[in-house]
Amino acid sequence: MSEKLHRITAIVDLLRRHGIGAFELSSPDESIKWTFEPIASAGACDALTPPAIAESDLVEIVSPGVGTFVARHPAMSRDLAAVGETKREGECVALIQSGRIYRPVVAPFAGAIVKRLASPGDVVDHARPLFLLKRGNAV
Amino acid sequence: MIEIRQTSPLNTVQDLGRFGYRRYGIGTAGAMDGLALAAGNRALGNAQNAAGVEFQLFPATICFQRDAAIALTGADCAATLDDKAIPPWWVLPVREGQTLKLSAPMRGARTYLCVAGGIDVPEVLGSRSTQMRDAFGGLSGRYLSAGDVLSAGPHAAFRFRDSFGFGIEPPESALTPNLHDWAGENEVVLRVILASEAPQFDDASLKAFKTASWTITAQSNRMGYRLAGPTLRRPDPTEMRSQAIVQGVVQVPPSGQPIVQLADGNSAGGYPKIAYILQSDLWRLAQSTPGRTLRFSVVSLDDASRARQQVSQYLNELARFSSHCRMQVGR
Repeated sequence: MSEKLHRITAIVDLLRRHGIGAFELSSPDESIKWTFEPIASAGACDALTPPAIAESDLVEIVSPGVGTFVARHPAMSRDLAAVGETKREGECVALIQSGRIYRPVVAPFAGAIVKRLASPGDVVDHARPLFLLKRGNAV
Repeated sequence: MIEIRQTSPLNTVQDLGRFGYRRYGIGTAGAMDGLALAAGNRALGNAQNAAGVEFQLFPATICFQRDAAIALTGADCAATLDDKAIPPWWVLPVREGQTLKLSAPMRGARTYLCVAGGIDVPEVLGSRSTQMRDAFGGLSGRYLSAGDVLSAGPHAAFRFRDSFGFGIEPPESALTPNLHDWAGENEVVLRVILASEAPQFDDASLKAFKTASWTITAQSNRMGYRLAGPTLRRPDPTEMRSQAIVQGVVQVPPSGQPIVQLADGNSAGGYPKIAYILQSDLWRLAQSTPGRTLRFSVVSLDDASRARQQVSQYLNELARFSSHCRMQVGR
């Protein structure tokens, strides 16, 4: 069961990252359908959620889970990602701490960090936007 | 299968040490920063004492010939996997053909590579640690060199909740009080209990020992660290008979400048012993490089026992939280 749950959350993450609004997966014995509100309005009650983004080349990097937002690893002397810095797809840009564990926040695409949307120490929910990433290599 | 593509000398396979043979003159060897090794192992679901690779000279390049799960702990050596940056104290999956590169740490001295299942070298006298002095244990009793291939022991298959892996909180932020300053702006504080010959030193020397700043000299390695600071005087300089000594003992030779015996230290010695560094604090010394300054803080046996409990609780918490980030495969 945990294996199946793992796959479902992985699919949810992929859909969110790529901004896909609806997705259906069927097999002979089961079928599952996801639909999402657009990201910009889904978190409208959250004061820190940025206004709707018009340009499609801006992508939100969202939290992988519930925990404390950590911009700088305690054993490092600089932040994992600075505004203006270019990150490659799959690179770690921040951490979400829960107990003794840090989960990675990774860049879904290659691009430049345009804005940080959370402050170190903030307690964040699953899918809370943490950064704005501009696709491509230039800001 | 882990191939060492490039390495400097002095990097070895180590577990937590070889205990029970000191009476035969065989030291413990083992990881200098045993806490980092134990943490990496617990995060992977290994036995705490599984063998890993201790890197103390850089750079190093490692190529994985099979899929594996690894943990990197200890000093942050700006690791990259196929040129992608890996944060310090990180646990992650690696795929066949991927290359891990470790560079000289900006802060700290030693980095540990743990693998799920542990490094599979033969146990010699109950340990997989490399005993350099007598050239046994580890990989053929020697330092690793380019072309060496290490294999991982058997372990239950698992996959990671996040494909990038997960991080574990390092001891300097998890253990309180924080006595370890990586940035080097403050002294590293080492808690000690006084040893049997402490009363033989004059009052000024005892006071200096407890309050002065001690600098780690360049004559410091896995055998021991020589410290520089005020001269410690023992009014009656009668020589002692050699007796058993342990890792973390602070001896004072006639020069009056202390020596700390460490992982590859002697099993017996005749220098007067002024103090013992808590085993729970030895990782701080292992991660301090020559030039760093230290201060000793005298504590009670009860304090030492509490420090040990705190470390063991930290390791248990790492294991518990880490288990939520790994999913068993095939259930």
